[in-house]
Amino acid sequence: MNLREYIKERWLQFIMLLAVLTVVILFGVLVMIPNFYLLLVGVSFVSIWFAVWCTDYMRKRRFYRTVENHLAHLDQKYLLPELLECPGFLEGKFMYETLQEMAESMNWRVGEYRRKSDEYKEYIELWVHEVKLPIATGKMILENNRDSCSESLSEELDKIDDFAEQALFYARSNYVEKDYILKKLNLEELAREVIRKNKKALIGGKFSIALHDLNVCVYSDSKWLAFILNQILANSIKYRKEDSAGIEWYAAAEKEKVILCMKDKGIGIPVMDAGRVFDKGFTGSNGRFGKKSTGIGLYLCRKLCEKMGHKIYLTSREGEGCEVFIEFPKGSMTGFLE
Amino acid sequence: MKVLLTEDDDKLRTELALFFKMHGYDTGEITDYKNAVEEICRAGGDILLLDLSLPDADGKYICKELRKRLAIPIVIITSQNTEMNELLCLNYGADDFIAKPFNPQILLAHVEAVLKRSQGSLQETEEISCGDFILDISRSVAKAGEQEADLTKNESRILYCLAKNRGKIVSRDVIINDLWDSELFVDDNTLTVNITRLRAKLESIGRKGVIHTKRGQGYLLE
Repeated sequence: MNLREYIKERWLQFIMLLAVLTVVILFGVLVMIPNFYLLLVGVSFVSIWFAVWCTDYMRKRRFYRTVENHLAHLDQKYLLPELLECPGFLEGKFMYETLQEMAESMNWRVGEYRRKSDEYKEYIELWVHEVKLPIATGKMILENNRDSCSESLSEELDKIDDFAEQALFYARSNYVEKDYILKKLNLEELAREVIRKNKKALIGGKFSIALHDLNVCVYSDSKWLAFILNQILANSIKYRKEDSAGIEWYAAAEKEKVILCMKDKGIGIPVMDAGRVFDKGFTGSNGRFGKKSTGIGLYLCRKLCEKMGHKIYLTSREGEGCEVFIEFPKGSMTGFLE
Repeated sequence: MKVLLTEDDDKLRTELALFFKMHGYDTGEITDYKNAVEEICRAGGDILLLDLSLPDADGKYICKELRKRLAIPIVIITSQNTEMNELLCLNYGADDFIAKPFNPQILLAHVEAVLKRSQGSLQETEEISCGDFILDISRSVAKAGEQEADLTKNESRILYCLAKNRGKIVSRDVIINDLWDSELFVDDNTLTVNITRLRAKLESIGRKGVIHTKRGQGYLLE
């Protein structure tokens, strides 16, 4: 609110005042009241109104200024009512009380949704833990009773396990609280574990595996990072070329960061899609034609990476393969953890 | 070797017991979770597989209590596969942490590794007889009398795999699977190259033609 707006809103009062003043003065002139008295009446009339408007303006301005200031600087604008004090004028009071009530009902509502989403997340976690038991039992039964179907069934169980894992991490990725631990871990060990986990698919796809320069340590959550690497490896397996499949994983240590590079010799990503593969639900032409894609895997990778403070990006040439990079900062913050 | 199993799902426990029996272990099943610590002490095994979420008891608590009394190696098996859980368990004295669902072969490998670590390398057979020559795994060499040939990791593992099944045909798939389980990620072409080199090295110590190729089936060490 500024002065012009304030005056603009009161133009009617101004005109009325002027009209009344004119009538009074005309009347005074007609009944021959001396000019001195008329001037006195006129001046006091105007100055009284002026004083009334001034105090009113100052009072309102103070309140609205605070509102504007808070609004401009607040990160979460809905917290505004918490910061206001009850003003002295009628409309202000009314507005203040309305805002307080809105805030209360809003808080209640937000609380309700937060509780629901927490409950849902807890349920998903519980469910995933529950479903892992029958998967584990199924795998043991297959191992103990090997026959012609064992291999193939075991592969399907692995897929169920991967999907369950994805659901778990999806639930975690949307959770505001921190539920990971950054710990010093060796990239080589983790990479080998992930590759070993995908043994069947990799041997079946006749992959050549090249791991080099991986013996470096980074700070990350080993379970989360294993999930991310697994997703990227799953993509390399899914979008492989039938005749020459292969992956090359290596790490490059720079001054402030370690970069893990995961390169494959797959079908690559079309240029127009490359920028969007980390978007949720983006399937791209590779996903639509031939290979089924959900558009969740890489989206989750990016989200989990962001939560842990890693950076993930990729470069690709269609028909030649794809290279995914994860950057781990080696900053002074992580130095404390050693 | 006796493996103690604490797992509240009956079916999984039975299958685990069966699996370990098939691989030459004795097994003991702990089912009284309230007095799990006493029962484990009484059962006296060489290694304990412990589930974290048991009825009437908390796996972490059992782990902590056991450590006060016994030096038995403990492998935690859990579906709550988080870094936090792993750290806690290791702090409470567990030796290894495996997530459910596990690949049975990998579980076995972990159990073997933990056992080996806890008992030193007493029981390890470092040398394997391959007929009229010897594979020394610890030094990765093939010995025939005074002659020796240095083997690479891959070659040593391939020879180990063939020697274990001496006189039988071992398919290429089996060899590749075995190599991958030892984290040697070898593809088909590399295997061919490795076998050729291995043959040349065996020839250099005077053991020509001991590895036979069975077309379409695999290899055989005589």
